[in-house]
Amino acid sequence: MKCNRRDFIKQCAALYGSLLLLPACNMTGKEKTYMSFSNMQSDCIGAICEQIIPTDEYPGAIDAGVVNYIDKLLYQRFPELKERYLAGIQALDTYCTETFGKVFAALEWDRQTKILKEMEANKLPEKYWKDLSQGGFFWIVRTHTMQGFYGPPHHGGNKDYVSYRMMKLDYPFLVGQNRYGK
Amino acid sequence: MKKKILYWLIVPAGLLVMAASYATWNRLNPNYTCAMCHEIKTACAKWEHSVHADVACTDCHGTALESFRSATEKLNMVYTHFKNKKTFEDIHLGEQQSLDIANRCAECHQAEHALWTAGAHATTYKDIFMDAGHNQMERPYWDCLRCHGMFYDGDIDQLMSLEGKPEDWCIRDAAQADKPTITCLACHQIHHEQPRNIAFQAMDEGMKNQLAEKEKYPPTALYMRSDRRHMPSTKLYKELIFDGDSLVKEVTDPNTLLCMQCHAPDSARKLGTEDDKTTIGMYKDMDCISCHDPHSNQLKISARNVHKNITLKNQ
Repeated sequence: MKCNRRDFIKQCAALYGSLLLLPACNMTGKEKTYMSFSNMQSDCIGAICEQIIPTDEYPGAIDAGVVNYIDKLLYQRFPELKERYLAGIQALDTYCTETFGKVFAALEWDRQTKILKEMEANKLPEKYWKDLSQGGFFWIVRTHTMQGFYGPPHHGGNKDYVSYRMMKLDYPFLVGQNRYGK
Repeated sequence: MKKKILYWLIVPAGLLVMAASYATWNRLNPNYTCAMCHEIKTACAKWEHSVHADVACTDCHGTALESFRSATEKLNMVYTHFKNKKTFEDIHLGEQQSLDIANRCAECHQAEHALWTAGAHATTYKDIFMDAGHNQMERPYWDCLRCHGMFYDGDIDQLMSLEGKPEDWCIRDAAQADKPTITCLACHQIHHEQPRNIAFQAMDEGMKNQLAEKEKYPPTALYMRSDRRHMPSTKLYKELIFDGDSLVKEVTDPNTLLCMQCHAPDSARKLGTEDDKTTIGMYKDMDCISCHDPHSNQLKISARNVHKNITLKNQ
């Protein structure tokens, strides 16, 4: 493609003008939060994780950053698992929308619990789970939820060491100067 | 000739536009710039809800054109961003960065900085690691850096030459000797989630009540060298202190728990052991900052605070 100097300057000016207008786009609150999931997908995963580790006197899986852990896991370490996650979320949300008229994250707590119990036992309608084992999907989310909640915070979960506090784990270990010579 | 004039106009205009763009980019809300697709999204969200929400990113983090060091640092960040898959949890401050930020804290928090400078917590590497008397008693080892030099980028062998007798031990890099070991970020987390500063008159009743309870939610956090991250002091493990087999105190005050991480008893939590400073007797219900200024550690404000506490408890 040929471009003369005049066109080039015009296009540059247009591009610069567009960039200056970028802040006018009110994107706060709508932008994607995670690297591997859309907002809707992360809501679904969060709802599953919260069912596995619900909030009581201690924060549950969502507040402990478990979704962030799973997102980081899929982004950095195991990108090959991302497809499985997205397929599982898609199957679950399709089933919930067609059966109850809402996505999984929008359902009532007790209904969510019932669905996950059925999913774990491979009892959800097979037509939604042709390419993926529903029990297998539940197992992998449960495993990653436990890892995210109980593992060290530098992996993205266990925000502010919530699980350590819950387990009354003495961390950071309190010890004074260790004068061996004394 | 016409061409020459055109170039003389275009080049300065282009430079001017670039400079203006760069300045605009640096002052814009990060949600519209870096944080749109960046690993710092989490940090931005915390900053937006912090007391420092009115302070621009560049006021603390600087800009690439500030100095050669800053330029190389920022270029390295850009390279890492594109080359490696990094997320918020992988971002850590180096020692020089923590010192730079402490200097920037001092620009606004001048009174606190002056108190800190005058107090024991402004102690340097030389004061701690070249203390001949202490070195005779105990050889410096990796865990010293947990409290003294928690942002140090290496280990104790990189910091010190520990060959020969204790009097021969020295800090390897002379430039390190005068650096402070306990800076602002040792006890404060800049992006800490705290209510934003709002004028008292503009507060509703709920916010005013919350302000009265502020002491329960102090803006302090422990920097844990082992994990290279902060833990809010409100989330620290509640400690039990024993005298023999008897439980003498359950420490729940967040600031006291923070102080205790370094002024700690032995691992059995025995009262008065090692560096323990647990208050007992008539002072039992008082926390560290009832008597000590939190920045200078000095006791000169003790009378006011101690009496205030006693008065409140007697009411």
